[in-house]
Amino acid sequence: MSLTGITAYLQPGTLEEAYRLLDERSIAVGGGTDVIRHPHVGVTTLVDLGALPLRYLRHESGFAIGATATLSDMLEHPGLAAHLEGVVTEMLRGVGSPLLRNAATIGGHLARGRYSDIVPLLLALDATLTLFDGTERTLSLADYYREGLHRSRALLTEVGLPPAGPDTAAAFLKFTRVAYDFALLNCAVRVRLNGKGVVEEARVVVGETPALGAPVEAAAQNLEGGPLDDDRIAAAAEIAAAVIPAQHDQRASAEYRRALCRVGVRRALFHARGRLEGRRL
Amino acid sequence: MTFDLVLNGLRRTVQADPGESLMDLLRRLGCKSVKNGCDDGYCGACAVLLDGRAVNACLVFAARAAGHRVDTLEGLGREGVLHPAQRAALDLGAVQCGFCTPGIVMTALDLLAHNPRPTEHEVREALAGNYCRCTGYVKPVEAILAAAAQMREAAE
Repeated sequence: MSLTGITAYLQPGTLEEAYRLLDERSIAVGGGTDVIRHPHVGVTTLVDLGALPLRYLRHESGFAIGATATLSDMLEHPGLAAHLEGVVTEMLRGVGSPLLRNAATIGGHLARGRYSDIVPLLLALDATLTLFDGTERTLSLADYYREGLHRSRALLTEVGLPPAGPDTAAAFLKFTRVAYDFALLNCAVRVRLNGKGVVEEARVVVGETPALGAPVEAAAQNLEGGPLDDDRIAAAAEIAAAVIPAQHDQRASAEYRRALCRVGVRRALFHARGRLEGRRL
Repeated sequence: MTFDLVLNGLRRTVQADPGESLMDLLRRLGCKSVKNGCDDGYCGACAVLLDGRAVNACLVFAARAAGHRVDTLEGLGREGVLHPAQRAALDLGAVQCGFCTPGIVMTALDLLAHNPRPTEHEVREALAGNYCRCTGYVKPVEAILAAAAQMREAAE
């Protein structure tokens, strides 16, 4: 979908240059798949980040993913496919189509900050971001959205996933009408147990409420400090269903979203628990 | 703006509007296999290879192709000799109205380059972004599996 009113397409070779080129008349382009679909009022310049050395995926203690790595780069990375029973790659397989994933970048997706299966899972995994706005800094993905930085000039350069030990499991699931449609609701969970089977740390994130995914702290806190048994899982799911900011839109009613949330959080936690049990076999 | 790209193996110097999509550029250059089905990234009829990966040409800025390799159906096969993926589509009746066929063939080439021995399920997953509104999905899947077998044989 060609955009009209664009007078310049720039491909800066350094971060400093890219940052300098961004102002109210320009927009950063990762893969371009989202930018090209929407008219941008007042924007006359496209700043393509494709020439920056940001297309990489390094597996160190955790993962360092350059902002212009495509969703396919992530999906096809063997290390990421082995991380936490492949929870990230399994989720990505349901995001867009292969044609979209070959072009869409992780940085572009996170900077867009809407309609996302990726955001809830990355929040559950405590992902961090590196931003460049003259200097470089690292912050949590949660703070990035909390501070509204995805709507700022700051350039997202890297996504970090922390390592996860053998006592940690995660799961993601979504409810959707048809293949590669946006979710009616999605859930991501992560739990870390201590040696006695007590939940030391939990994350419960629910997205497409239809707001962007956000941690449901009350549900996570309710899981912490006790065993991951059926009753505690059901209680966490009830809390999540009650407190999520469910709204009605053309895809689902608020009431239906709460019902989906109750089932989704419970299933995701069962799935994570099953993964932990599976490792002991 | 003016830039170079390698289109179907040939270096070309082209002119494009800075906001132009790769689909519109390719069609202007005469690559009419690149179909404008939805112009919104849903149908996959405009799929081309950008540096070997199948993408929706309608969702990629033309200028992104500067200095890169673009392949369309026009670059497949030689005079009188079809590419195995084209041959299989023809032989196995994987074409009804034909509008989606170029996009499906280009998507299949990306799949087969990365996975020479796909299962039927993997072929179906690879085609998730290619709509056939004649709803003839069975034959294209069979054709891609047949093309894969033939390409493996040729490679041996």
